[in-house]
Amino acid sequence: MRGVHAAITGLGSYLPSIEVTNAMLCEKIDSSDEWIRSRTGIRTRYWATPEETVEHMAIEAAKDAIKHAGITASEVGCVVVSTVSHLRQFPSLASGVAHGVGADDAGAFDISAGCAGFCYGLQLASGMIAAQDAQHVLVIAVERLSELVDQEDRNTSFLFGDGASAAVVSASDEPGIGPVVWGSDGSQKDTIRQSVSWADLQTDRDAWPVITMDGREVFRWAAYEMGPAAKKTLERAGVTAQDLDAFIPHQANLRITDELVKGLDLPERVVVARTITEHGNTSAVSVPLAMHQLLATGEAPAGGLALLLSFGTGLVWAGQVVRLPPAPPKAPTKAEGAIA
Amino acid sequence: MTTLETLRDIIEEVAEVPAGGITPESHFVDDLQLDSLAVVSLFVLVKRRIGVDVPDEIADQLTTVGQAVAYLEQGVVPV
Repeated sequence: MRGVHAAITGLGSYLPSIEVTNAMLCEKIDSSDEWIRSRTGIRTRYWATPEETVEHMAIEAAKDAIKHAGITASEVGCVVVSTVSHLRQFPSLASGVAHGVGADDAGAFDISAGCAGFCYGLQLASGMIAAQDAQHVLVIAVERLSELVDQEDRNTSFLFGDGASAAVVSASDEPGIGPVVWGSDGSQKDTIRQSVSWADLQTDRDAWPVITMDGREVFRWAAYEMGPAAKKTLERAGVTAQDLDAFIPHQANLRITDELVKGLDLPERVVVARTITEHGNTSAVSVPLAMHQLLATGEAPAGGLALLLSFGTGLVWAGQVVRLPPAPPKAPTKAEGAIA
Repeated sequence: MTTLETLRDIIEEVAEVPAGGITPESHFVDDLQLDSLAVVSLFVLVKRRIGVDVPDEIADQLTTVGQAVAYLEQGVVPV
């Protein structure tokens, strides 16, 4: 088998505590155990109690996988969680899981690829190992679909079960994960979908989730703890601040940027992104948006080296040194005809 | 260097207030014009230089330079 030198070295799973039979579900739909078995093959599934949250199930599965792999949690370099039933847009489930298993130094993020999510996660993990960005990556799939099921829908109510399963992917002498074949067909994006958008629930403004933030704590963390992350990023790339042409941190707050710059000892000629003044904090958009702006206006040189540093809810962070692409033809501008 | 002198240096750095004009009576907000983020910076630098961690809940009660000195030296918020 062709492949990179990464392999699955540990597995762990968690099945929640409520066993649900077809007969139990047929109390709410006009169907039968025999009909469900003949159409789907399903005899039983497990559903979670309120205490068996996605985080709880993911942590339990991950702990078992770590144990099976014979490593310690502190050796995990990144935690990737695939889920569609983590009912918060942010922070990611992965950051809480990483903390819950004791992988406190690991990178952590969620991915959205529905039922294909584990194989997507596996490929990300394999790439991370091949690039030597991690020695061990935890890939976790977790769902609490019972919460998203319409128990009166006789097409779907009996299909879905809850649970979590985790794999440790590790560097290996032999290839253990082959090249991925993946794809998408967006023309079918409505075939399996969330019935209504969260936006459709905005009628109850009091119940609508909004961003809340402890601004002082975030400032303290970002302004003073991200400096060491930036320095480590330079070290890993084998460059120094003297080699940089641009510093493009996440545009969270100008005061955070100013503190980071103070700590980095950047030469005068290094251009620092301060596009927050014009765009505000656009979350993950801010780094590429600032890069676009600095290149298009000629403030940063095409082909130059830029230190990128992003951070946010989780709390999580990631940075790398990149060689800047050719300048885009024009700077980002407000769309024509948009509502002001 | 005394705690007061260290604080003066830090305040000069975070708020660009000349250290000579800073007295124990100086109020962080009213006299020195520190905003909430500057106060965070102040106590981060205090931790780095003196090693004392001042949580936000305590920092909220320390409104003057003298109160901060007292807390850093004695570990209690002066009444």
